[in-house]
Amino acid sequence: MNDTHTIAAYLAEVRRHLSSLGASERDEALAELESLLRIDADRVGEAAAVAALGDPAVYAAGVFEAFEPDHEAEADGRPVPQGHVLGMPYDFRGASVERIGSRVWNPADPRIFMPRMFGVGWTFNLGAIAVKLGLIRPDDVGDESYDRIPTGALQATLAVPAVLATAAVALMLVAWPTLPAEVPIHWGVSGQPDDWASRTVVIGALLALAIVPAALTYARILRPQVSARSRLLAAAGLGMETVLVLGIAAVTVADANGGASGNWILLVVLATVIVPFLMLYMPLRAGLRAEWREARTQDGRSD
Amino acid sequence: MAAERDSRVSQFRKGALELVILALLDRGELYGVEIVDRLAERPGLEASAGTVYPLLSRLKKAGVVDTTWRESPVGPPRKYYRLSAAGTQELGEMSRSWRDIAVAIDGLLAEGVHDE
Repeated sequence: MNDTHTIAAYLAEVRRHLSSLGASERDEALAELESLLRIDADRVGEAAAVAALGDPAVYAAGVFEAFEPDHEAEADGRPVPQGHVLGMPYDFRGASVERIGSRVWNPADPRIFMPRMFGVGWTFNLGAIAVKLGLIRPDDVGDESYDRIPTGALQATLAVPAVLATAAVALMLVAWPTLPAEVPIHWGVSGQPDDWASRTVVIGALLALAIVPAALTYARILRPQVSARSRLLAAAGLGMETVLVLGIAAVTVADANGGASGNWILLVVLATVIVPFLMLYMPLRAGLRAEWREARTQDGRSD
Repeated sequence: MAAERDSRVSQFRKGALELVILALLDRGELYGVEIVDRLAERPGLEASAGTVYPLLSRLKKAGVVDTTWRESPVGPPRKYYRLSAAGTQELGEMSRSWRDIAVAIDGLLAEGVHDE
């Protein structure tokens, strides 16, 4: 139980619960609350005035709803960012499977640009892209579709990030002797490198990025009680990350061995969209076909 | 001000959309596009596919609606939505609350008109 018997403590607690509200709206709400509490406290005493308002979390939720009537959108499966900076949405909560399910693969939501899963900016809703391409209808894939994915298709998809991570590690180990002491880490718009760093630091960081997230994700999703849906969504998120690491490693190596052009970078960016897209679409398409086959046999029987 | 009023009206409608969809499905099962079309036929209740589909998937998760695949004369099978037992109960409770609120607000508005 929080000790919120004083006006100051109550206000601080409400402020904490309102951290995702815009600063000016939060200050306005807190100033109003404080003046109300002071008037009440003069009449009935500070502790009674504070007690009458009840749980600060509940009070804060009421304020939030008054200012952001759309904040319940995530309950509808429509994600909302924690807030905006320079007009771009931000979200610094770690990427969960649910967040991947509502932002990276959410065919029911027609928006292609979703608030980014982690950090600032936007992320692609691959589910909306599949709908726009006419590959699926918005409500084709339900939670049950994941359970109908044929075992082989699911296992093959789960193996993709492991293959990509292994390829990245192998490429870096093989190419290590060919790398100069300083390798480019940033390229200008013309595709010319404009910033360099030590190869030990760069390759060390890339190796860690290839191995650590993969090891952590597989340890989590390969436990027997984890659902097919959680496995597939987490693997697609990992696929996006490992293909990026493989791409950066390939560009770094190519650059040291004769130069990487701007097209390489474009190719890497495209791959970070296409690989997770195929990792989600192909197995779910197979799951959907299994559902349809089953529906057809049932229809046939009832006729 | 007109834009602000539109946004308030759309908030009303959004709050009632769940009840509207349950009431539509109470008359028989429908597939996704049909639900959007039926809403479009009723002025004031129109809702975009982008609003309806996320809501349908939430209703499915909540166990209020069930789905079945059925063959379509054109193209792949269609996913039909119908009320579950819990959905029928939810519809009863929500329509009672809706009527209570509507009667109370109508009464209030009628008093206001008298006073002027």
